[in-house]
Amino acid sequence: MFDIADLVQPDKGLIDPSIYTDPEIYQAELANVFARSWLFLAHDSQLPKKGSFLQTYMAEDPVLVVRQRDGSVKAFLNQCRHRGMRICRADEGVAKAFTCSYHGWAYNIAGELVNVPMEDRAYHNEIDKSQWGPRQVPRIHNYKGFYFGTWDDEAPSFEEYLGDMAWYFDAMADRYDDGLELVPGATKWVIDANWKFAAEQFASDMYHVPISHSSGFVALFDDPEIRALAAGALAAPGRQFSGNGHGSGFGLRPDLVPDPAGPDFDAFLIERREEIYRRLGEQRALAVYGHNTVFPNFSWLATNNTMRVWHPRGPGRIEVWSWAYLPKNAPEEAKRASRLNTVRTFSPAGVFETDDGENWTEVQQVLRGHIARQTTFNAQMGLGHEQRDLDGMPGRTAGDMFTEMAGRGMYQRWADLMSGLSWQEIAELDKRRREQEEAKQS
Amino acid sequence: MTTETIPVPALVGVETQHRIEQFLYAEAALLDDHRFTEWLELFTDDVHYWLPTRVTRTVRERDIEIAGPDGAAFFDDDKAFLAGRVRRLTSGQAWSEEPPSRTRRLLTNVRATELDSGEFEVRVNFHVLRSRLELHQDSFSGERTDLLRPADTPLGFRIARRKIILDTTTLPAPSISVFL
Amino acid sequence: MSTSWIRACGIDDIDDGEAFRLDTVPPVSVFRSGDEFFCLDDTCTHEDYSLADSWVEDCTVECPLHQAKFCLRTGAVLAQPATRPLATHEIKVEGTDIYVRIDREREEHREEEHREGAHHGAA
Repeated sequence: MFDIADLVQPDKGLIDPSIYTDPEIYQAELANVFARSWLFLAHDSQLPKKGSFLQTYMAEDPVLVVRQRDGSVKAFLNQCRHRGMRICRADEGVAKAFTCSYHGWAYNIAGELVNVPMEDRAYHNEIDKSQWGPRQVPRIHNYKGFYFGTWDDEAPSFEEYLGDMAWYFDAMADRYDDGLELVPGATKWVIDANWKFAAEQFASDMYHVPISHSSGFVALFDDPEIRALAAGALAAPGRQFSGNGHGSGFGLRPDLVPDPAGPDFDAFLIERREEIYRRLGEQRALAVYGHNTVFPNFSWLATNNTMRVWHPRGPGRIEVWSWAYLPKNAPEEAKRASRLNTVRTFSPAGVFETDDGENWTEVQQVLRGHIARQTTFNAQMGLGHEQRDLDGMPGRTAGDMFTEMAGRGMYQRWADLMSGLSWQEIAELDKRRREQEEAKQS
Repeated sequence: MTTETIPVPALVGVETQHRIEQFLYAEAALLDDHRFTEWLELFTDDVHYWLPTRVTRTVRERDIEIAGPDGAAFFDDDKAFLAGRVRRLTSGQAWSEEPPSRTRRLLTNVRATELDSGEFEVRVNFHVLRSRLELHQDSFSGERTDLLRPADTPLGFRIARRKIILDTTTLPAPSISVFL
Repeated sequence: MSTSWIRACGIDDIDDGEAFRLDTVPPVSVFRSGDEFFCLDDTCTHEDYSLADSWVEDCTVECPLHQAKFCLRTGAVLAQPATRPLATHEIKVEGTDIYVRIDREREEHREEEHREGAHHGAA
């Protein structure tokens, strides 16, 4: 058995690395973290018509997400109720029904069992088909085109779950009048590392960029002077947000341009400048354009237009499913520039992404060591320097992007869920922690 | 299906086939030897180096299982960005390739067709084995379709287009920090 | 059973690759493949499922449940697990209207011939 309070101490910035390796902890995460949280399912643009489906995962559970006749979206376990095989083995497409290829139990696109072969002869017409549809994801929420689902009836509403993170999420999801669309096709790969390394980094870690991604800037810019300018953006002031386990970090940019996607995207941004400022306010439009995680495993990078889910696959493995997102109805050349920026920087062959995989794999490998995985990690960067509503940015904010505040916030939410606390208890605890912190700050 | 219905490609001459194969082997050797700057010279200035993603689809949609030109990709490079990758790999700071991977490129099933333009479309099966650090190993297999343009160079060709198709949908590797 | 022509629907009511189901007993559907229209029984002969919501392509209909496939011209089985053909019905297009005639007696006669044919074939 394990005692969560011994393993992570967010108030002291201490992490016992066995949380990244212990199979027992991993099984508890599936139950206490993933089966209770809101998990990303799909974006609206991935399900263009009636019967459009995606097969995805909620942690390790295979799930089908399907556009219904009435335009709504349903999600259900991709598991036949007879002997449990996946009822759809294609990744995406358009379906009229889902049939298990083992014995032929067949389900409609709403996830209702519509046929069992030989119902009269083999089942004597005694099976109640209405009771044997695949398990439905009971709660699905469409947040500005992003579908999230949870298995937990007790979980707070999605908006409440997001909390102050909504303000930061909207900087991406709500940036343009016409919304976003995903580039067709997903980029999927496997990294032999615990999911929390990736989720935490996207929540909280600007600190690795100058070192890990040094060569990325070399790839992007031939001229060392321009390279120094780009890398120099990291010397500018920045901010970080932490709340409800989510995190966002960014530099304070003086202008929308130059964007990393290049001149064709700059032209689009200049044309849409007023629209973007009207929707977000100038301050948010310029600042909130960095790294982000919605707890537990949905992340995006605004600078590179990449979003992804870190699907856990045991304590030592993740499947990364990533997509490039684009402003809908942008000119083709702007979309192309944005898409190429994503492919070339953040994909398994991207000049930034490849080095992330190397780091996490290496850490996980070291943690095979009996002593290594009992040797405490330091997560103390910026500890005690948390502020609130800094410059009008809502929630728990830090006056620099180089801090691990959001990482500690993520581990706090993780520990609360892992301890088996109810959502109500977690809300009360968070309120008390906030009051204590505010008392200290004033 | 009778054998008469199996399409037979117009064969190139034995010597041409030999020169094409030797060119591909030489290119692979430059990569296996980490001679990236010289390798880059084998590409034309208008090259498109492309590795689209793919997904598993139902039988009715199998013809679109590989992403199109506007779809998701692992590589979608022009010459300038290939040069950027080479700059990165030779920077000494590309941590996924520093220390460098040891690679072995196996090329086979070379099928060349001469086009009206005088260029050659060459399809080749590949298996790239990558070994890193201690025990890390990756294996990439698939098919490449190259457009080879005759050139007044010792190796006789430049690569004007490369489309790479992997056999995997979900890439069973942490990165593709090597060229395919 | 009525043997008169009845108006089924308009040609614009059915897109290519779609079908229009009539609530006759048993139900029939009008299928459109390209610019051709066909009227056949709606219920798959393998398991109980409406073929109106199936894959209609190249003058065939394929049940989405178990991939039983039928010829829209003759009703013949083109793919298992179905073993019995679908009943076909007369159809005509007049202007933009589609008419069908459902004659079950004619169908039964045809099925009998099919069974005998199969029997002779086996012998």
